[in-house]
Amino acid sequence: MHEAVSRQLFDHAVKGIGPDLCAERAWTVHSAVYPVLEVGFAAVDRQTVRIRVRCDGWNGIPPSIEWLDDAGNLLSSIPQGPGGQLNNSAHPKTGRPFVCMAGIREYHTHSSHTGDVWENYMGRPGYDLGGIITQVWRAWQQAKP
Amino acid sequence: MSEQQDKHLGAAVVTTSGRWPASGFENVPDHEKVRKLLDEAAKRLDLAGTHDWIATIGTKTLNADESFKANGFTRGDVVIDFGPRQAGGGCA
Repeated sequence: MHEAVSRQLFDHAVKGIGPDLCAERAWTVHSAVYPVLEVGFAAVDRQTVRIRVRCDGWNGIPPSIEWLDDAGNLLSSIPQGPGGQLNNSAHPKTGRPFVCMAGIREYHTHSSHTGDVWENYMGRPGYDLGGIITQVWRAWQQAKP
Repeated sequence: MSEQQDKHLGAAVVTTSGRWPASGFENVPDHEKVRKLLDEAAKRLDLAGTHDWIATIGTKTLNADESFKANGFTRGDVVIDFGPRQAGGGCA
């Protein structure tokens, strides 16, 4: 993916995440400068977290996600939910907790899923950048505080 | 119930692809199915494949195939959060 095209797709995606949506979801956009989008998730009785979404190569390759605390420090563990999307084991490539869900770079590069390539999802409904972040947010919502 | 007796409410749909209407609210009768508004929003925001998406107002998940009234909304302005459900996960 040419960087200029990737940047254009990123900027278009970020534009869709407006103030009304952020208010409804209690999201905070901390940074949105290509290729990094950093979004905070908040909820009642939950510790606020951020995800750092690295979008280099978007949408030829899926975004990579890191978990941060509210101050922007990397988390060594992430809340666990019933769906198994949030994984606290060390990812083989990053050594960090990761999102084990289609549409996330760490899923497609994990040895358990290398046969399930990003191209199976690219362009499908719910797999644009906003849709992927929405899916991660829903997994976090269902996770234990 | 006659048209004159219908209650109306204002409704807007927010997604990660934008808000519809861009400002203000659509005036909808409370007996109208939520799905009709969601489909219109999807069309206006150029979204496809939204049939199994989740629609919520606050913490309440809507049954899109029921009316606003059946979902408990008959007045005022509501903002519907509309987006995809999460995929399954897990590594072997």
